[in-house]
Amino acid sequence: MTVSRPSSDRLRVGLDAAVREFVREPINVALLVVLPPVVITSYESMLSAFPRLPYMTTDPGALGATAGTLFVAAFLPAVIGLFQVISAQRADERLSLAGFPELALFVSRLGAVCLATLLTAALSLGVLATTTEVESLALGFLTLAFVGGLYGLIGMLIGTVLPRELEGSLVLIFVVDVDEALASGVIATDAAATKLFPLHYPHEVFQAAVDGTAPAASDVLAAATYGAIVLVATFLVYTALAATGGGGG
Amino acid sequence: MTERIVGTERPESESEPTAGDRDVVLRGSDLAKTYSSRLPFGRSVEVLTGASVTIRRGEVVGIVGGNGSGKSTLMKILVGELDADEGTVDVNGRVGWCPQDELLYDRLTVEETFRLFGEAYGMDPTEIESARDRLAETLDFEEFLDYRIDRLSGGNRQKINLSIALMHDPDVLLLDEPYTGFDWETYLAFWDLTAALRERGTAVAIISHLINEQERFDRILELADGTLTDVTDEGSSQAGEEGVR
Amino acid sequence: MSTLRTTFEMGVREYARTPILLSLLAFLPVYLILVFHWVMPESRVTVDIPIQGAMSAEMTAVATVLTTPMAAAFVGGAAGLFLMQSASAVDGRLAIAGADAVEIVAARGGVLVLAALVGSVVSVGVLSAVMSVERLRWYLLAILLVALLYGGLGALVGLVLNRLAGVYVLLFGPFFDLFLAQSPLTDETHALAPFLPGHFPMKLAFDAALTARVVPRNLWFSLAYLAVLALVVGLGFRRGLRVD
Repeated sequence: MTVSRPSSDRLRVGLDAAVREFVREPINVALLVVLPPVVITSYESMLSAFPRLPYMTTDPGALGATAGTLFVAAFLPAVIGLFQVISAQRADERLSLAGFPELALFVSRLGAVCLATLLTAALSLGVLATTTEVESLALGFLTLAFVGGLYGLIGMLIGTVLPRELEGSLVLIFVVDVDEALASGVIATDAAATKLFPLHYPHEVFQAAVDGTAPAASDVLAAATYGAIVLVATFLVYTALAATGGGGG
Repeated sequence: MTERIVGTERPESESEPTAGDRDVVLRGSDLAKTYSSRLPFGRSVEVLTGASVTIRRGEVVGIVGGNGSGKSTLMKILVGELDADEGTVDVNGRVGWCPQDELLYDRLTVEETFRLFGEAYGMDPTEIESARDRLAETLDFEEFLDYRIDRLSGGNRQKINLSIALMHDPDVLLLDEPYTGFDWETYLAFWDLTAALRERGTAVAIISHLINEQERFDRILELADGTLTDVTDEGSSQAGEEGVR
Repeated sequence: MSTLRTTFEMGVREYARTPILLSLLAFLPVYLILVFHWVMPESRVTVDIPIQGAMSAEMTAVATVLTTPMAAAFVGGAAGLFLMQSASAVDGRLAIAGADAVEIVAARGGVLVLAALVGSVVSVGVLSAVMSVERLRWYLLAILLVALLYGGLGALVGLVLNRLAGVYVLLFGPFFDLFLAQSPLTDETHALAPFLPGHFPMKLAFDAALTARVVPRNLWFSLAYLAVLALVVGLGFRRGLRVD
């Protein structure tokens, strides 16, 4: 006899399992805590050696701290999203066959990524605030959380389409690093195409949060639209491939 | 760290071997193993606390125990994959090992897998080919020689796993849950093969959580609470509760 | 020797049977290098080149010379990381079967060298399609050294960390070292930069790409760094095989 359970129960159980799986590998948790200060201070320190080049909008050290904060807020959840999907693929297929709704599975995986995102965003912002005056902490936090969620989804998307660790990781490394290098402001860019990269608009909004200026509505709207498109695309691809065992590889 | 003696040499402190000792192909003495937690306040698990086992030429030994009793740990220590914290392992001859997890290269074909492991055993190409064909016929996987390991069914992968352990005619064969996934015909073929090996003087130790036919074994040892006890003569009374059926 | 040859051959066959991976190895360097080449403005920038000091160069050329070793490093690093992670358990069985541990280590090292070579040749091939460097062979050698160094580091990370942690390190390691610490856009060397694996090969790369001369000393230092790294990884991997 099958007893139907409320979907909120299933969501809670799924999320709980996803989080437990992650935290039971202590190195994962340690890196989540250790990497934000390491990355942000290294980035800032490296760029402090740069002269202020004509295209740089601010002092290179401050530019490095801001860019490093966005970088770490993006890549930690991205890798977690990727591995959440890849490592749990077969178990997810089985859960789906056992009657776990695809939406609940997707939200469980995304929920674990979101928890890591919130932790990373808070830590990163805390580290940044020790060296740089962040005028609007609330907007800064929201932007970092958004960046983490966005890249967590991108990690999940890559993991769903390419459910192999080596191949998925390679793609993610190239995607994140190209995006970060272009958005960081370390080098000059003049092609309109750079606006198509995920970090472009969040970088503008985050800089506004640091500077204490009002973010351009067009930047916020563009970032939100980007996030919505990635969310829908990831959900559709995940439910079509990962949860039903249709993924390649 | 396990003291491991391979070949015919004996520790200097030991006296001259008796006739019975000369038949011993594998001996593990007072083996102890504890898995420690990597975290400061994590739990440690004591798996073996002084397990001893002696395996002689031409006998088939069953090692049974409940789930998590340490059977696979014992086997890994006997083959040298894992170090014991205490104890010695004395090997006198060639060892064949069929691990519970099929340790095979996923993207190599069956034929290539034989070639690679045959090289490792020091066999020449003719010997490798001959062993491969003989085992393929016995265990019925001739049609899969060109298949990649990751494209085989679970049962066929297990046949290759077993064949790799057997291909160099070892003096002692250590099999960890060897017939998982076998169909009935393959199961029977496995026992025919084991009987033939016993005839030739090969010692076979089979680890399993479930032993169906006791009459196929010369001795049955039970691993419980970190030590091994001979339960051959105890029939199904004790063994029945602990996994010997 | 025969076991070494067979183990190496089988390692290569395993790689060759991953068409998606091979496609990515070819495509991802193209993506990285061309994107940077494409988005750079048509302007000149002052760069600090080891052998010549400050000089003016096209921004597109600087970006392309800078991103080519990054592409090779990512490919080499990922290959090293996953080589350690995927093969080591089965390699342990091979060692127990009797294969010499040194031969297994050498065979896996050979596969890693091959992956680094493919990554380097593809990356330099893409660069050659959009610009010409002054000393192509020296430049290719420098890129190969970067790929090998990061291959070794990837393998080292694979020995001590799990895959997720390894990918973290590979995500920001080459980026910090090659893109920031060794950048020619600054004439000030960061205190940490000389100790990073990309330091000497990147000096060699910039000299070879933008000037007609190279300093062999940078090659020797790179090789020494690589030798120490290879020794550490080799010993660590051999220890993991659990054979004496």
